[in-house]
Amino acid sequence: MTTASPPAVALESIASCFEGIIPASICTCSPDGTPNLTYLSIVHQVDSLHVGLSYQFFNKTRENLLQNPFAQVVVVSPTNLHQYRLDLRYERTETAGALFDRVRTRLDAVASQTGMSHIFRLRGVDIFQVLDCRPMNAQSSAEGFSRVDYLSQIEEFAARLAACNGLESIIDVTLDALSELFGYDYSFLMAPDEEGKRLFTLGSRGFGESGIGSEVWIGEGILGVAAERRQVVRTTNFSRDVLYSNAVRSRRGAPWRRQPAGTGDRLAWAAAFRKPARSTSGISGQTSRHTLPPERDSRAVSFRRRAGSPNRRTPVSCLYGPTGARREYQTASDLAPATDAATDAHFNGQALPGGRQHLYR
Amino acid sequence: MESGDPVSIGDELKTFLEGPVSVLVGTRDSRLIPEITRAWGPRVFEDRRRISLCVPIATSRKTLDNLEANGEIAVTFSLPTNYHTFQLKGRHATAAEPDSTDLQAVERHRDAFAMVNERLGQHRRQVEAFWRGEIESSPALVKIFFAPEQVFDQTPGPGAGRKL
Repeated sequence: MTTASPPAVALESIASCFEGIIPASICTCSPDGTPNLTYLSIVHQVDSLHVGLSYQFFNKTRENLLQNPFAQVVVVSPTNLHQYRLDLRYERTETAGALFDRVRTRLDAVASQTGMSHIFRLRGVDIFQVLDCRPMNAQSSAEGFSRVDYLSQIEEFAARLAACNGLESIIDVTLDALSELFGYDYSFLMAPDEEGKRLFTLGSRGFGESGIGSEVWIGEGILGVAAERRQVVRTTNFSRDVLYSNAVRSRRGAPWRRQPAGTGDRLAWAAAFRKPARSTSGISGQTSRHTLPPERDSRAVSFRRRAGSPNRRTPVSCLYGPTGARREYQTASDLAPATDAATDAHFNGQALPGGRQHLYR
Repeated sequence: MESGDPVSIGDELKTFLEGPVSVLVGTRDSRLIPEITRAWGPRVFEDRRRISLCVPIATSRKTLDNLEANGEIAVTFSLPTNYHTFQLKGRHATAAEPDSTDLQAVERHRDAFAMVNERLGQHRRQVEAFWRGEIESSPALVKIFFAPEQVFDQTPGPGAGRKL
């Protein structure tokens, strides 16, 4: 397994395995020959020969890797539940750079959203060389590589934008095009307030009510963290992110704690959108959310695409906590009903008890 | 691994291990290179000191070779609905042919695993792809049994790996 030849299965052909939809597992071995096996929330594909794993806590896996660099990871395709073994060799740990920033922002955004910012902290991204990648059952076939070409849709989108003659029409054209051209049936567009501390909704599509005027603190929740950091955040299975956070909380007895709002002094705009992980996925109701890097003096957009499955759930989109009499969620079990209630209240034009502002997640 | 006697598995842990959990087996070869395979039908023996599980032969040849060579084993049990996870380690795992009781345990486990995953939004036929893919080329299963000497709480977080 020390060969430098390409993996039997190209990592690009099983890209969906690296979206964090189904947990992976990693086995390492101590110098005395004791194997250690644990779960991973996500394996990041770095390039065709490398993957990255987040390093948050010093644990047995890491202790083993520092003494014996060989590991095996099993990833699972959310499309067909095929399992793949990756033989790995630990190379290095990155503590800065584009990959580190991308992983950290996603971790921080989810941690902020689930009230775990005081627990989850990225120390580094461990980089592994992929020595081999193969189906768990040698008889299984790898996923076919599918490349989606959006060039014609982008051309049409650009033409529609070019024909706009004002901000209002740009908003309408953008939101409509996201649905018509790209399949994002759920979307909303946000802009910063004058102080740059909050984003507020300018328009939306796909919801019962527009939600225009509702707000999110910059630096809080997935949208707020993405806006503050100017980083793309993609969440593919938020329900599992919540379960994971709850599991950590259950072992620590950690209280539900909110992060202070970010200052937002560097923010100009952010954009986010949501869509199903894969239209062919066997997992119903799973949506992925993209939060785009913000650009100065612009606007924030959030979209989500309607799942093709008739069993799709309505994704939870919005949030909690009015300012002034801000509610504190002391237990994880408060989160789901709170977010659902806030979603409904937001898109029905209602205020949460104790205040007028709603925070998106 | 530190030498140790087999641990006694209490009622609560027994219920967890035999529940609708995801079960993975970790072994290693003579070069200390690890190998993972998925297992089904875990059973805690009446003496509460031994555990058996079944692995598909098509996906587990390296695992079985490793166990025959050195017997070192780590098995992780994780409940998909809340990520509560335990890892059990032993040093003298052996393999045998499963009997009808073992195969019934496999069927019960697969059924329970599919049901719990349905609650998470996965269609049953998709969950069934897990084991159908594993036995695609051969339906044969092999039973592994071992006496755990160490039990760890492997639930995610900074305290993961706490020895019980």
